[in-house]
Amino acid sequence: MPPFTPGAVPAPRARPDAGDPAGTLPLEPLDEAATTSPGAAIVPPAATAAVRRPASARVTARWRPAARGLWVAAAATLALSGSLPRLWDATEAQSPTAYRLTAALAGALALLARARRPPGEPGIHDRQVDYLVGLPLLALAAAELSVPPARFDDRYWNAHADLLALPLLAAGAITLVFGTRALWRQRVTLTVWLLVLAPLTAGTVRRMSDGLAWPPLALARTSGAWLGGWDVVAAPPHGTVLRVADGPGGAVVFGGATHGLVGGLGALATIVIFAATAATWRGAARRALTTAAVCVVVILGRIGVAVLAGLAAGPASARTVLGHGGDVVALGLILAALGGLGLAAGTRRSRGGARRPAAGRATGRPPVARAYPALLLVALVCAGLAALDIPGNRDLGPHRSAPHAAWPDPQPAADPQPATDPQPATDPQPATERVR
Amino acid sequence: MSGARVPDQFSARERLSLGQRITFGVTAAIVIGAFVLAPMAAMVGVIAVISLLYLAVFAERLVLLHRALRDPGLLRVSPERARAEPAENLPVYTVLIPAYREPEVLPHLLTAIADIEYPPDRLDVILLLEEDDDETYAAALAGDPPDYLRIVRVPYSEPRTKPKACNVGLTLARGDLVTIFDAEDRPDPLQLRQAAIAFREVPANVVCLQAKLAYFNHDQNLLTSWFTTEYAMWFDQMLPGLVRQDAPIPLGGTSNHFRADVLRDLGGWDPFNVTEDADLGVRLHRRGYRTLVLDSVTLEEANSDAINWLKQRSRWYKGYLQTWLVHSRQPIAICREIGVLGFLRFNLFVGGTPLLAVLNPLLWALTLMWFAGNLPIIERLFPTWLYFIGLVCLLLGNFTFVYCNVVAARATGIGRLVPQAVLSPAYWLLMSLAATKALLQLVIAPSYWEKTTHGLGAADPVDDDVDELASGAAAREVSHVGV
Repeated sequence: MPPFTPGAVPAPRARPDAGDPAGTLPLEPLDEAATTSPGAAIVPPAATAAVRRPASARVTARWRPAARGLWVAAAATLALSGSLPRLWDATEAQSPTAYRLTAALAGALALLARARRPPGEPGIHDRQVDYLVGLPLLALAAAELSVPPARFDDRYWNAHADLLALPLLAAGAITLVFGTRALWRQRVTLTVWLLVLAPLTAGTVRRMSDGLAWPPLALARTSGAWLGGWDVVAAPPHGTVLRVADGPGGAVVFGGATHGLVGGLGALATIVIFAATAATWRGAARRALTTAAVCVVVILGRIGVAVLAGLAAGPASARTVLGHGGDVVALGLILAALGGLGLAAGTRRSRGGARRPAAGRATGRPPVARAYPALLLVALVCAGLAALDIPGNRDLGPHRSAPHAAWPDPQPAADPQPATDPQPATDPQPATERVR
Repeated sequence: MSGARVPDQFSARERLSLGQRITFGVTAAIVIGAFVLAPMAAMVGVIAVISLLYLAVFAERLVLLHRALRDPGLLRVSPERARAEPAENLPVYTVLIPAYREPEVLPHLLTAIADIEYPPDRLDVILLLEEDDDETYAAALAGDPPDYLRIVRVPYSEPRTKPKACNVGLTLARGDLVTIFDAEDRPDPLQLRQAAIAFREVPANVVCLQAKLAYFNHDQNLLTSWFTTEYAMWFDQMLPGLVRQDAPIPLGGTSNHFRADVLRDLGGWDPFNVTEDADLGVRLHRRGYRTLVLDSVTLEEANSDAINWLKQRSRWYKGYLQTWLVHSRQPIAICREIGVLGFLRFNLFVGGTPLLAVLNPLLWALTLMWFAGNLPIIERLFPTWLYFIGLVCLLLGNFTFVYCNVVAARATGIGRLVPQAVLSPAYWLLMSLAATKALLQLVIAPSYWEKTTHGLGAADPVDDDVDELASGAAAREVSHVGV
């Protein structure tokens, strides 16, 4: 049977430019990829070459996601700026609760690990859905900072529940700026990030930190006994601190090595978060092992450096290496190493090519071509939260009442503890006694 | 189209009639006035209305479930009988297959057509392609189509919707009976024979048979599992329940079989309605015609991608809203035609489904705010009498829906769907997103057709499970149902 001739159908031929009084003309596709079919994904090289963009446009397209990501990160930091002083307090005190800052930074870095569009991901996008998903997530983040404090009061702030808003803000911003599919790609990472930042009381955190400190303590004791001349003990009042007494360099307390930014909890949070960036269970195990190896190397290397520094330049040098400044450097090294490993893996993958063609005509095109309104919206919401300064307005500790609150003197080393927490809120060893 | 067209009062070309505009305007003014004058009382009133609506929908669903489980009333023609029917007793059957930019599913389509067990000289298959869809046209020609398949290039005109293409096909149809298949469908090869025999035996006012739909890729991911369970619930519980209640049947978009003359008389499908099938089901009922469910399964590809799913579902919800608005234009007339109870059921089923999905997040947010913040305003929003209604909705209502899902999953005979059905509340979140998108689009682009991408599913069905789905575990042998 021959194909039907269009002329035989008496349906009226109306073009859009002929006008449509009912206003029922179909919209243009809601984004460039809205009405695609998988079969169109395979584009011959000649066609690709024909639509090749100029070099400047390619450079812009390459850096656009990075610029958007930086914008979102800056906005999120601004939104939670009120929380930063208290996080820094915990960092300075080398408190077990300092792991939260580690988790916050590791989570932000981990999001980059799954930012790249994997091969085989459908090129189906919908800006309406992006807004319908992203706006409620931003609203949820704002609600998380404003509604629960009414019920939980100081417990909310002491347990740092405000940090839960960070993954929610990130989720909302990712959806609005990069699209719902990017959010879906990051779903496991964001969920794990949220779980790691779950509000725990300081007592719970300390017990977990103690538990994590026990294996290295036992290992150090055994090693010390085997080497001879080293007396490794758990420093009072808690077992989270390694104190090497009667060693060649005198007694050394490795406070920062067992808690603080890169203590057991910090390392565990980093391992869990980076494991969550993998797409498979096997990949997760591999990433967990890699992250753990990086953490162990950095932590042990730091202790080694501290011992050498103590031997060579005296206790003050060892104290510097093991102090909170050393924590920051060690965390920086860990995150840089993980970032570098991820970058190298990403480069290998892109050289290796896609396993199978991605479905949808939008392959190679950004799912969100123009994100200025979304970027502006994210910035406005974050600025609004910062202006409210909900976390910063809480009067919870000395850093609120003293002029130097944001950068307290390291000597008191006050750990933000709830009033009801039975554990003392101070570091077990005064700084002056750390190296004798 | 030379044939009749859908009368204006039944067309979604206009979103709202004048009466509806006035009604909505007055209602909005009253609500706004109430919120200004007595905000708390107004909010309590709104929550009370929503809660009562929920209660009514729960009750309706339970009644449907009860009736469907007691006697699904499916029309069944055994395969042996269908095969034994002499060719000369079978009418000419037209199969309309609208497609747009789907070259990748064409091979499956041609195979499915070749598998149909119907005399070729009495088969009239029309593949409806848009004028600019050269890729699908080329794929169809390359597939060496059989002689009884005609390829029709639908000329460009607005709106570019599936029902418009089907109307073009209807004008060209040579058959006494007409059915629609989607390009990715895999109908039961005996379905046309079964429908032809069933049409001969049912009362004359039964002019439409809806075959059951199921998915061949239900095990692809969690979304396809939920979708499969939902379809099982729809075709095993809801539609049979509606038939039993003698309520309007919102038809599914494919595998519905019609008497061609009646369909032409009704004006075919409304090209402005994006669920033209549901609208047609209601129009049939209003004219005194009836629809029955045929116990024959067409396998489709379940949407395995969430964003693709949202596009498809938002179109369905938008179409339901269009249908609801169209048929609520003259409430007295429709009450006369289908009865007051029928109209109430129509409102609950066709209007209530998308509207409740839109309202769900509001109530979830209130519940979350109560547990998270213990806010005093929530307590004031729920005075004691309303609190208990809300509690019933929260506990009994949610249980009802999960229970319906579990029952439907069990009825499919596929064991692993049952635990996944328990997780269906997460599916409701997607439904709410789709419904909100639908409501938005109803305002800004009422007749815009959100194209669903096909070909993302698993390549081949798992045979054992497909057998389970195709056999219809809940089906019962009935010769016909008196209507």
